[in-house]
Amino acid sequence: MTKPGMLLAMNKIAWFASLALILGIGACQYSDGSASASDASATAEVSTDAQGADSVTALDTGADTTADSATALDAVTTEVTVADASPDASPPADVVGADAGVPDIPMPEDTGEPAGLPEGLTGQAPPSPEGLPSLAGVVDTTGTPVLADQLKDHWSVLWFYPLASTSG
Amino acid sequence: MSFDAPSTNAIFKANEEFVFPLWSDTEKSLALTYGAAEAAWQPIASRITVILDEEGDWVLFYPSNVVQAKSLYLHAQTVLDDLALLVP
Repeated sequence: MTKPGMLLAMNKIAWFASLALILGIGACQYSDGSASASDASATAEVSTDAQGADSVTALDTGADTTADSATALDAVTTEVTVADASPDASPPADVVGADAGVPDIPMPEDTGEPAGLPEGLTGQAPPSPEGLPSLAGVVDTTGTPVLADQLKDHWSVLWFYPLASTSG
Repeated sequence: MSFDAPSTNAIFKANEEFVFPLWSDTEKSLALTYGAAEAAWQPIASRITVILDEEGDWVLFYPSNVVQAKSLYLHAQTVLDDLALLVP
């Protein structure tokens, strides 16, 4: 082979080696990205991906891949750290320490029932307590004013509707 | 209970043969008390239901989203079921 031919061949080898190196790192990053979407249980998957990515890089380059492997492993380590920071992880020590002096006050169970009323009601407790209301301007169908006494000594249902002669 | 004129409610009552009284809240005093109107300028009452006890105290409330969550017939049954639990 002539000298220019050898140079060309070496250039091609170097180009393919670089391409394989890039593809190997890309595979590691792709694997890491898929693992980061899961929670702490993804730790095993990440380890598997790391091993696979590392071996792929070594096969592709066939050269000194120590630096590439280290880069891939660093990326995986970062992902594992992020995965461990999921809500299942324990709080930092300073947060635990801040809560240490707070007494554990039991909270009443919210049953959704109005206080002091029987269970099983669908209606809600009034937003504000109201006694016997003012009936100023309230009249019946003959125009006779309604008196407050008409709301006493029996239970009453007041059903407000938008317009007469419409449904509901 | 609505903001309609008494004569309008009288026609409504007669046509539907209601056995209970229909009241006109001409000054919207009750509607403002119980939340069927947010302001006096509100032209029509919101569809809410309230239950008062024997003293006239407000006991239960059904806001419009609850009333309209089911058909009005089912809402009426819901109110009757609650009354069965409330009234000794």
